[in-house]
Amino acid sequence: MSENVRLIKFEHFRGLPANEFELRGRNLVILGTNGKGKSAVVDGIEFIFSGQVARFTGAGTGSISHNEAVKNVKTGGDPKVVLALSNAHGARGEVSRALSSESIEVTGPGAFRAYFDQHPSVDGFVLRRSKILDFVCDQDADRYQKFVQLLGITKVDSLQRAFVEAERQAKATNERATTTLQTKLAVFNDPVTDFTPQSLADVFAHVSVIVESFEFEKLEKWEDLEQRLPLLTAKRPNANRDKVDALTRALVSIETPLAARPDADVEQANELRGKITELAGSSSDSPRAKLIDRGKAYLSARPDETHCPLCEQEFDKPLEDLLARLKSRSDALIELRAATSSRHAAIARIKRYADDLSAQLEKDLEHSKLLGNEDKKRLRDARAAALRFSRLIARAIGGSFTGDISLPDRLLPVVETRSSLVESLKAQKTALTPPDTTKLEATITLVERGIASWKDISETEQTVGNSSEILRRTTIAKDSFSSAREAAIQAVFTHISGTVIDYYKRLHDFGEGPESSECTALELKPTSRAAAGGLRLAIQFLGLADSKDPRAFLSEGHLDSLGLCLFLAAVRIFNPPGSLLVLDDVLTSIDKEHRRRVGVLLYSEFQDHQIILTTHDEHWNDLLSTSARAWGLQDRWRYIKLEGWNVETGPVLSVVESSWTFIDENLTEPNYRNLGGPFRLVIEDFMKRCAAEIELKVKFKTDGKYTAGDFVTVGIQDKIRDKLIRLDGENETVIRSDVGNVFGQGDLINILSHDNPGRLEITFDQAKDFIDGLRSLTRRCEDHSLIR
Amino acid sequence: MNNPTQEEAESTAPPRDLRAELLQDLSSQFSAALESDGSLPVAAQNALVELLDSEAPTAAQIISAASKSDPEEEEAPDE
Repeated sequence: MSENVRLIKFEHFRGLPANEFELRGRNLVILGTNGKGKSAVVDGIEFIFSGQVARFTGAGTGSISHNEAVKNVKTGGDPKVVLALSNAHGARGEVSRALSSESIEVTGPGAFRAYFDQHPSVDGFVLRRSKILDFVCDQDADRYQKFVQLLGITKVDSLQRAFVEAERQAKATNERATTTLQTKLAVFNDPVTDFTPQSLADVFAHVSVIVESFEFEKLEKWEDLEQRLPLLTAKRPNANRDKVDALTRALVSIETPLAARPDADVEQANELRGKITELAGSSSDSPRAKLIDRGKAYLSARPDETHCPLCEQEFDKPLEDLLARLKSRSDALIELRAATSSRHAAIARIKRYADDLSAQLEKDLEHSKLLGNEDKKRLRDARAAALRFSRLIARAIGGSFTGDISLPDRLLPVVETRSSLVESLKAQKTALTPPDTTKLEATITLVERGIASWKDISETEQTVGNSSEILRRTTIAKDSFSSAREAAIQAVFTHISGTVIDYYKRLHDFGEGPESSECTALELKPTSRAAAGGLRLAIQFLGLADSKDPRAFLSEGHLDSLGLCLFLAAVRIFNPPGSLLVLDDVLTSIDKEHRRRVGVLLYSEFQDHQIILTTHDEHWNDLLSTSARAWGLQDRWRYIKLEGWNVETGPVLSVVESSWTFIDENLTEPNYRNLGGPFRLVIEDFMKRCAAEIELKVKFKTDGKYTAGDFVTVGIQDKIRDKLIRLDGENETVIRSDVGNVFGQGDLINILSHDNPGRLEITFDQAKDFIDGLRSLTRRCEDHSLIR
Repeated sequence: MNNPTQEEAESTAPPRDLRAELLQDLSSQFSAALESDGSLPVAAQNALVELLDSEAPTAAQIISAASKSDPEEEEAPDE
């Protein structure tokens, strides 16, 4: 972004009835005591970027009406905020928002719209005093969500959810197959011998032992049963042999368990049908899914695009609206795809149930000669219902039936019917079987059952094996993805925490030993909650082994500065260069020296952002101003002081021109001789701050009014020179030259030691050398912590 | 912003695209994790890693990818 804010205008907004704050493209410090309108300026920035002021909305705002709160109490007009922008090419325009309008208005080049669009959400670039601790005290889940939003990694979490869902589905499939296998094996349970088979191999071993007890050859394979069966039936008494045989076959069929009712699948299919109907509008987009994704990617990468790349027509809506619509269509398609896929799977399982049921009932009906008319009718009705149901489900799969699915009522009594039939057939068989042939008949039944079901059970075992393998692979995929996600996210958060601890140390490290930062390491660690995610913040205190929640160790002031570092690290890492950084009175609990360091951090790390600061602290305001000079950044900052406020005009502004500003603007041949006063102020400020840091022994003054002479008399110049050379020997020549330019002009120092130095009787070059040397020395002392 | 000088503009490192880095890292970490497990067919590993490039793979697509077998396995005669 090469755009910057020239001016912020307010109309009828809060305590700003008709006010302007001129930035001229620079950073801005707004200084004012409480109640002068500082926070209203920040409210206005929040309003223009989000359409609301968050502190007047949501939980805890009680009876506050947002719209009333943003109105000016006196004028009663439509609140409006305007950002006047310019860019590096000199183009000008405005972004404005009125309360009565639903959207912003943009004039000027398209890039001004992009400037607005590319800003993150307000929480990402505006920090208020009341929010500073949120970064430290957030719940892990909230902190995670905050950073996930900043990172834009929602895709990673949706992938994680898909892997978890895949494993869940694979597990459900495996469990269904296992239950089916167990049901099929259960017909071989023998309570007499306490036999409960776990596999087809168990059944085979059991059948083999029993068949061999009739002194037949050992069974080698299932097919051998076909040969053993006639040998066994030959042992029956002749009487009723055929009848008993028919009853045995009928029992084997009717005792075969039916598939479990697919009630859950029916419920799921119907629920998903409702969801798919809701997304019906999106289904027409399906063929265009790839085009939508490509469109999203194309336009996201071209914020200045004004025409469609396909038809070359000019967009009739702002790019932001088009992107939002494409995203919405893409999200809906993804949801539709997932719902359709799940419904197809559920319907396929219902179809399999209907087909298996009708096939089994057909087998049952092969023994209809043994059944009563009523039972026969019930089984036929049930089979007909199963066939009709199967055809209906086939239509649902084909798409010609889109209604709700329900299991036919006629299928409901079939289990009871078959159960009573089994009892009836068993009773008939018992009546026809002599007591001494009970074991033989039981064995014949077992063999018949084996012949009838071993292939089916073998296939079911295969299905269980396959589904177990798929479940194993899906679990590996999910676990691999989880660990990859954790490692990849950790790498990002390690980078972020490195920046945070760097900033924190720059605010708190005063050297080695007891004055170094008590916070020796900082950790942002994603917690291993499968799909939801959390982010734990912990610090290492004084090098202790365990990292803990910073609230366990740090003072209120240090927690504030840690919160500030977390926020600034996020701004530095995530926000585009050129975007705004707004800090609303965030340093109230931070002491003077730390405040100065915050200023240095802003100068060194955020030169490519436009900063707006509000403060009631004159000292920090002066520090910022002085340090900006030392960094040579004086032309990038403006200082506005709110002198007062009244209901008619809002804040009473005065643009603060500091001594340094005055010097810069008047260090010219015609004017420089009038700079005695400002020269005195800047040299005294420099010497006082250095004297405090290097603990210079100066004669104590009860009134605290020290002059330049007080410091020079005790040799401040020698101490600063020697310390700097010791710390920065490579630049000894420059250091000696700077010290000479500043302190080597005895007459000048003498003049500057007076309260009113009067006209400077030195040459223009001497004055310039003095100021250049002082600026260079201040910067050097900043770098080596020789200045407070 | 603030019309930085040419030198300053050049000295300011461009912000890292952490999102792109994360997705790239995720893909390579995922691929390495699947490979180190050693029990998945290569075809399944490749299909699963490819899924990360798609916008939003469904659970069914993940299961389908995980179920893939290597050609030689498919052609191997049943013993």
